[in-house]
Amino acid sequence: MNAQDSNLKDSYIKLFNRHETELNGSREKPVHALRKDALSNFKRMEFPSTRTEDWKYTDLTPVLKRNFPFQSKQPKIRSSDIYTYDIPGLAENTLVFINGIFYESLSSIQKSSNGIIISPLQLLLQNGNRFVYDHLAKYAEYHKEIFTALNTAFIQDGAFIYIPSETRLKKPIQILNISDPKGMPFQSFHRNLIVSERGSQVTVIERQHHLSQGEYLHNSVTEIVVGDEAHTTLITLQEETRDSFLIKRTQAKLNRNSRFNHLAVDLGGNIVRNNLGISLNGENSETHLFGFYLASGNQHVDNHTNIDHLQPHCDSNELYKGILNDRGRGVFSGTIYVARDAQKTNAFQSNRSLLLSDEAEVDSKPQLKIFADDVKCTHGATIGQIDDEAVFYLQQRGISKADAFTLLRSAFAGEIIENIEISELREYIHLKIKDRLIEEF
Amino acid sequence: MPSDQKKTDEQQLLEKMAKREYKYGFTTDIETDQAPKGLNEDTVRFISAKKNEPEFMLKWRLKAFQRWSKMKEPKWAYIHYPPIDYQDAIYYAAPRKQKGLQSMDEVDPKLLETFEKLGIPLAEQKQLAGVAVDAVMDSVSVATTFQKELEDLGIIFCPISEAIQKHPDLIKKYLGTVVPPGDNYFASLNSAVFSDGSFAYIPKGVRCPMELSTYFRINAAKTGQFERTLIIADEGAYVSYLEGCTAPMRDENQLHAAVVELIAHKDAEIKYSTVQNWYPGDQEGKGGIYNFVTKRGLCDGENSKISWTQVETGSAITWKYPSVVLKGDNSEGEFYSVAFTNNLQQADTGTKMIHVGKNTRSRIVSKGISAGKSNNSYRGLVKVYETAENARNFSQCDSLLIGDKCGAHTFPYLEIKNKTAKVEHEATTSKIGEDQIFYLNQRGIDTEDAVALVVNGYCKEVFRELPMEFAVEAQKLLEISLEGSVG
Amino acid sequence: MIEIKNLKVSVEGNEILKGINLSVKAGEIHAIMGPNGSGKSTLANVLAGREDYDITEGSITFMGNDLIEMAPEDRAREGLFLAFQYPVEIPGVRMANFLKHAVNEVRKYHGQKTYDAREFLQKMREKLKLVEMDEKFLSRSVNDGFSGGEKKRNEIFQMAMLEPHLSILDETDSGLDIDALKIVANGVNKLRTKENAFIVVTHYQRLLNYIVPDVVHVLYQGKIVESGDKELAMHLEEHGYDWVKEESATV
Repeated sequence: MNAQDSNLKDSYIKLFNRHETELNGSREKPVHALRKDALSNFKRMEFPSTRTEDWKYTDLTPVLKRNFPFQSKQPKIRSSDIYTYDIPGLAENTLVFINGIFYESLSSIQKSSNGIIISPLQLLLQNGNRFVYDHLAKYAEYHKEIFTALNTAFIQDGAFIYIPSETRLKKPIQILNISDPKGMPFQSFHRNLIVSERGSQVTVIERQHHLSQGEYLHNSVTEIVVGDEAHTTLITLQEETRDSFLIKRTQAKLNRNSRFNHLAVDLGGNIVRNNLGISLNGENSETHLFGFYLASGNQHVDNHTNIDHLQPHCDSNELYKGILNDRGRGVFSGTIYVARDAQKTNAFQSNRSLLLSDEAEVDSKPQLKIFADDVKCTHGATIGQIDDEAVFYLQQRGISKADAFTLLRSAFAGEIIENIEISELREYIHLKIKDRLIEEF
Repeated sequence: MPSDQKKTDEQQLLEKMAKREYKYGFTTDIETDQAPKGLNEDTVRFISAKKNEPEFMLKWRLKAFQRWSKMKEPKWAYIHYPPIDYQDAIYYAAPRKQKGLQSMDEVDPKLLETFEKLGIPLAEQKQLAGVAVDAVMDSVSVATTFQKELEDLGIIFCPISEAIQKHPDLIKKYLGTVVPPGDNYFASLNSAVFSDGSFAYIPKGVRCPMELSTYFRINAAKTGQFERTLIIADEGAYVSYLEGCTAPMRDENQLHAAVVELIAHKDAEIKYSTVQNWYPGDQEGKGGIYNFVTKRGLCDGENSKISWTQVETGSAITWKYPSVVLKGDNSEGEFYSVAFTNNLQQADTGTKMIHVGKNTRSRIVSKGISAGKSNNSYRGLVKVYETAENARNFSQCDSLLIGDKCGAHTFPYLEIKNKTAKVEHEATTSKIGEDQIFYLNQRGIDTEDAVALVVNGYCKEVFRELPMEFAVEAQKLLEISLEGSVG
Repeated sequence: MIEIKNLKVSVEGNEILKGINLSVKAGEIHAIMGPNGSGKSTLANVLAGREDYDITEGSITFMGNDLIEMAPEDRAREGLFLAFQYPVEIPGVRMANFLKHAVNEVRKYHGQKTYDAREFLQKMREKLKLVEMDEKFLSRSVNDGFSGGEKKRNEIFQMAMLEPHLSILDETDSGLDIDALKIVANGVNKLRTKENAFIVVTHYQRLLNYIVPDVVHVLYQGKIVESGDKELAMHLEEHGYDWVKEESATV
C-alpha cells in the first residue's frame, strides 16, 4: 500500500474514533457494534488500485488523494428550492435527503396503519427497530469490500422501507437525494434498506440531483431483500455534479418465486462506480437489470455487476448500454455465476456501447462462470457506431442529419428506458437524456 | 427411459472411461544425456555449452534467467495446482546419439520406432508425403525430414539449435522480438533454458509447397520440456505449420513451457495449427503435463495474416493464449480453438488480438467442451488502439457442458479506444442437446456415438481450419477423449 | 421534373455511370432496366444523395434546383423519394414517431402548418389502407423484424404519407411474391397523378405488367443503351440481356 492510501486509512480511523460517540448517537445501541466490526474489517483491507482485477479500468487515485471532510454545516433548503425536481403525481411518499441528511420538512410520508414502514433509517437505528436489525448489513458484504466497510462504519442516514406480506403499494416510493455542496467538498455515507415480505409488491425510485456545483464523494449502499413471491422494482436516476465521485453498492437477495427489477440511469458524476450484486437465492426467482449511461467531458462510468444463480430454475436478464463522447470512458464488467445446484438456469447478459469521439474509450468484460450443466447462458458485447445506413434512410425521409443522429441515439437509450412502466418517470428520464444528447453529443 | 436405468448406463460409461487408456502413454527405453537436477546459472551454461552455442546466445539466456529469478508465477488464471518446485526438475535431457548423421537411416532405430508408434514415420521410405517433419524428443530434435527439398526453394526448416549455429543473423534479428525474454514468467523461464524446437524461414515470395510440422515428445522422467519455435514469413511468403505433442503416462506432473514466435512481413501469411495431446493425467488427476505456453504472432507488414488453430485435448493444465499483434495496416488475425477437458483437467486458454494498424481485422472462434470434473475457461483480449482506424473484431465463444460436475467459464476483455472500431463478442454456454441425442438414438445411434457426432458438429467451424490429415486426427482424438464422458 | 445530363459517377476510382442522360416530366413513369451490375442502383442512390459516390461530371436538375449540391434531407423535402431496395431496420424508433417527424419536417420546409397528433393519426390510417397494412405497424420500430414484403409495403406507405413529386422505386419488386407485388403496384397506381412522376428501377419485366411505364430505358455498363416504350421491356423479357450485350458489343 502506498503512503497516500495508508494516510487516508489512518484519517478514516481517526475520524471514527473522534466521532465514535457522536456517530448517530450512543455507544450502547447495537448499531455501534456493527460499526466497530465494519471498521475492524476496514482496517485489514486495502484501497483498490488498477492492479486489483476488479478495478483494472477504474483508477480511484483522484478520489483517494482528496480525502474529503465530513459535511459539518447543513444548508437551509426550502421546498421551493427543490421544486424543479418534482414530478407531479409520481409518488405519495417521498424522503428527501440533502447531502446525505434527512430533511423532514421537505419530505412527505403518508401515515400508514397496515404495517408499512417508510422512514429515515437513522431514526429506526436509534429506536432499535427489529426489522432493521434483522436485515441491516446482512447482504452487502462489508467484510469483503472496503467501501462497503466504510459505509457500514459511518452510516449516516438513508431510507428504510418495509412492506409487510401480501401488501401491494400502487404508487412508488421516492428517495430524493439532493447534493448542495456550494463549492465545499464533503463526503457522505448513504444507506438504504428495502425489505419486502412474502407476496408484497413495491416500486422504489431513487433520484440524485444537485443544487450547486462542487466536488464531493457519495459512498452509498442499498440492501434489498425480496421475500417469497414478492416483486420489487428499483429505478435510479443519477444527475450529480460533474465533479462528484460516486461509489455505490446495491445488493439484492431474492427468495423463492420472487422478482427484482432494477433500472439505473447515470448522467452525472466525474467518476461513477456502481457495484450491483444480485443473489438468486430461491428457486424460480428472476431478475431484470437495465442500465444506461452517458459519458462526455471527462466522465468515467463503471458498472460492475455480479449475478449469482444459487438455486435452480432462476432467470436473469441484463442489458447495459452507454454512449460516450469527448474523453468519456465507459466500463462494464458483468459476471454471471451459476452454482453447481442451479440447474435450469437461464441467464442473458448484454453490453452495448456507442463510441462517438476519438478520445472516448470503452472497456467491456462480460463474464460467465458456470458450474451447472443444464443451463442456457448467453452474453454478448458490442462496441460500434450509429449505423450510417439508418442515418441516410432518415435523411431520405426529410429528417436532418443532426436530428437523425439524435433520434437514433435516443432510440439506443430507448431500449432501456422503455422498460420503465411509470409513464411520468419514463418521459422525465427520456427528456433528460435527450437534452444531454442535444447539448453534449 | 426410467432414471435408474439411465444411471446404470451412465455408470457403465463412466467405468469404460476409467479403463480407457491414453494411447500414447508408453515410454521408450533409450539412453539419455541429462543435466543435473535443478535450475541455476550453471544449468543455463550447461545447456548453452551442450548446444555449443555462440556467446551471444549464452548472454541472452543468462539475462532471461536473471529476469525470471525476480519474477513471480502468475496467479490470475482460473487454474489450481500445487506449487511447482522448479529445483526438482531436469532442464535438459536428450537421447544419446551419434554425431553427424548423414541420413535418416542412421537415426537410432528405437527413436524411429517411437515416432512410428506415434504415427509419425520418419524413415525415408515411409515419410508422409507433403509434410516435412521435425521430430523433437525431450530436449532435442532427433530428425527433420525433407530438408533438402525445402532448401532448394530457399526455405530453412531445421531445429532451432541448428539455426543458432548456421543462421545467427536471423536468430539475432528475430529471436525474442515478439515474445521478449521478460514477457512473462514462463516465457522467461523458456528463454533461459530452452533446448530445442523448430525454426522456419520462408524467403520473399515463396509459397511453402508442403506442410511444415514438428512433433514433440516428452520421454524422460522428471524432465521439463522447453522448446522454442520461431517462424518467419518474409514478404509475400506463405507457410502452413503443424505441431503435435504426446507424452508418456507418469505419476508426477511434468512441466512444458514453450514459446512460439511468428513474424509475418508484408503480404505474408502464416497458418499455425496445433493438436495438443500431452498426457492429461489419470482420472484422479494424478500426473499429466502442465502446459504453460506463450504463443504470439506479429503481423508486421501490410496485408499480412496470421491464423492460429488449436485442438487442445491433453495436459493436466493448459495455460495458453496464442495471440496476434496486428501492426501492419490491413493485417488479419484469426484464432480457432477447440479445448476439451475431462476428469480433473483444467484449461485456461484463449487469445489476444491487439489492433494497432488501420483496417485490421480479427476473428475468434472458440469452442470449449467440459466433461467429468474438469474446468474449462476461455480468456481473451481484444484491444483496439487509438491508431487502429476501422478495426473489426468478431468473437464467438461457446461452451458445452457434459455432465453436472464440470465448469465452463468465459472471461473476455474488450478494450476499445477508437471510435471507428466495430467489435462484437458473443458467448453461449449450454448443455449438450438432449433432443439431438434422442433424435440420433431414435435413428439407431448409441448415445456415445451420438455425443461424438454432436460434439464434432459443434467443433466443425474449427476443424475445417485444420489441414486435412490433421482434421481427421483431431476428430479421432476428440472421439477418444469423449469416450465414456457421457452422463 | 428531373433532368440528368451526362452524369458520370465513380466509386473508389471505378467509373460506374459513364454519362447518363435522362429527362422525366410530371405525370410520367420511366422504367430503368438492366442486368446486375449495370449501375441501376447506383443511379437511384446518387439521386437520393448517398455518400461514397463521386460525381465526376454532369448535372442533375430537380424541380429547377441543382440536386448535386443538396443534402439528402433537402432532396427529400423538395419531393424526391427513394423506395429502398433494402430498407434498413431501425430498432427503437417507432414508425408513428418517425413518420410524424418526417412529414412535419417536410411541411415546415414548405412553410405549411404541422399536423397535430389527431390529424396525423387519421392521415396514417387512411394511407395504411392503400397498402393493406394493419395499424399495429405504427407502434413497431421502423422495419424492425418486418418480413421482406412488409418492408416493401412500408416503403410505399411512407411514399403515400410524404406525397413526393418524384418517386424512385429501387428494385421494389425483388423478393416479393405475386400478391405482395400486386399490393405494391396498386399502391403506386393509386398515388399516380398528373403532377408526380416515377422512376421504376427493376431487373425483371414482371413489375411493369402492373405499373405500366411510359418509357423504358436499358442501362448497360453505365450507359443507357436503348430507350423505347413498354414493348422494349417485353422484348427484354423474351430475349434476356444477352441481346443487349451483343448489340452493345457490335456498336
